[in-house]
Amino acid sequence: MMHSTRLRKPVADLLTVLPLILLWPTLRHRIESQMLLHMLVEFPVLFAAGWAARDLLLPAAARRFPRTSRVLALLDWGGLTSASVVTCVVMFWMIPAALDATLLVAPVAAAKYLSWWLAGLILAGSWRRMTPELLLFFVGNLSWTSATAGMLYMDTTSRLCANYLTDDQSNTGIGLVLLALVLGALALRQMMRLGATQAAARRITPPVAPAPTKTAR
Amino acid sequence: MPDSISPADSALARRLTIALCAALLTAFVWGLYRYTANFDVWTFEGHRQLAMQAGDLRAPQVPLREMGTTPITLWGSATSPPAAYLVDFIYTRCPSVCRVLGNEYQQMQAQLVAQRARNPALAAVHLVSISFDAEHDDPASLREYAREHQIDPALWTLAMPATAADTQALTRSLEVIAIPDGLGGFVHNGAIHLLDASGRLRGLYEFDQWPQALEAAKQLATVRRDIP
Repeated sequence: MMHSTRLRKPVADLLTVLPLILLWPTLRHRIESQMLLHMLVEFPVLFAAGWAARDLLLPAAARRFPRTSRVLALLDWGGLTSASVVTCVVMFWMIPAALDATLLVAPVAAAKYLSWWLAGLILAGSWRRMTPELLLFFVGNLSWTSATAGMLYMDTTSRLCANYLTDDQSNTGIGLVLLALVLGALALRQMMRLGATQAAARRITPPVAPAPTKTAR
Repeated sequence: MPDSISPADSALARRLTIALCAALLTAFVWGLYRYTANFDVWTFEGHRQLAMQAGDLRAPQVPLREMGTTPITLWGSATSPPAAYLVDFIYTRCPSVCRVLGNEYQQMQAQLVAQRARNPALAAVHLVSISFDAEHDDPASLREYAREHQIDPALWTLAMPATAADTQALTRSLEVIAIPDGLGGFVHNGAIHLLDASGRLRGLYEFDQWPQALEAAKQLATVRRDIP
């Protein structure tokens, strides 16, 4: 456990600062000039950075604003708000026009970096608040979104993005479908855990004793 | 991780969260509806068509070098006689699409020659091919391209922008995006651009739609001639 904790902290720190490599224009251009790397490396790295940053930012925020935790809990009951925000972020950046716009319009690129980072940040703090049913629905929905976009990118023979070639588009489609399968497997695992937990709860609950009845002596 | 609220606040949290989610999702769907023009336009090219229809795309009057040497300016000048320009973007090493476009331009040139006597408005239609590959397209390769496609300079101008910044200004203004094809060449969007005398983009056509492009150019030139 100790070893695990030691390992996790440097990994989290590394993930937090990893997006800074995008400040190097050559590398950023290299990543973003390929659709596959843009969608399946850059997006997840930004998301993971936001996720990892939570442990660094939340204690400091809680010290400075003691009511942070309560406000978050009030506005994100059961993780519902976080699930909605992350779903919107994922859906929007699957749109071909939005992907092109990130390469042509600086404020859109900034919105992309910020939105993926924030999505990771808020989900890291809220997924444990979600009920198993909501978590299952949320992950299943992400899987469906990724699969739909992936199949569209795979099947369309014309270029959907002006900045990417059709081969790259097709490879990205395959990658998104594989990602959908991984997410689907996670959702399935969650569903099986949920079923096992409910079954265990039924086994542990003692049978209800019959109410005592008055008997004539 | 327990929520930092008391059970008494749970009902308040539920109400606040549901209201926030409803507002968030409504804003998202409304924003998406606007961004995709009623859930109809999902690609850059679709947005480009909308911008063209709204008259938002206009080529600046950048300095050009005809055949890579002679300075010229086209649209946007008070002295520019044609009223309709059919513009394509090429690079002379292109083995596929640009060659096809060159052939289509040859056919358009032949039609202009054949029909000019009968239709004076066609004098106001001009073909323009602009190279965006300053690294490789020198005057010699442009001359070779002109010879290969039998370009008549009176009808068809082959030029390249004076500087890389001019190339970028021109392609950016018309939202033309050229990307490396991985084989040493380029792939770019859009084929034939119909510009009016001010440089405003009036039509976008694929290379196999050149008869429609020429017809639209004729109509635009006719309208321009009719304006006193």
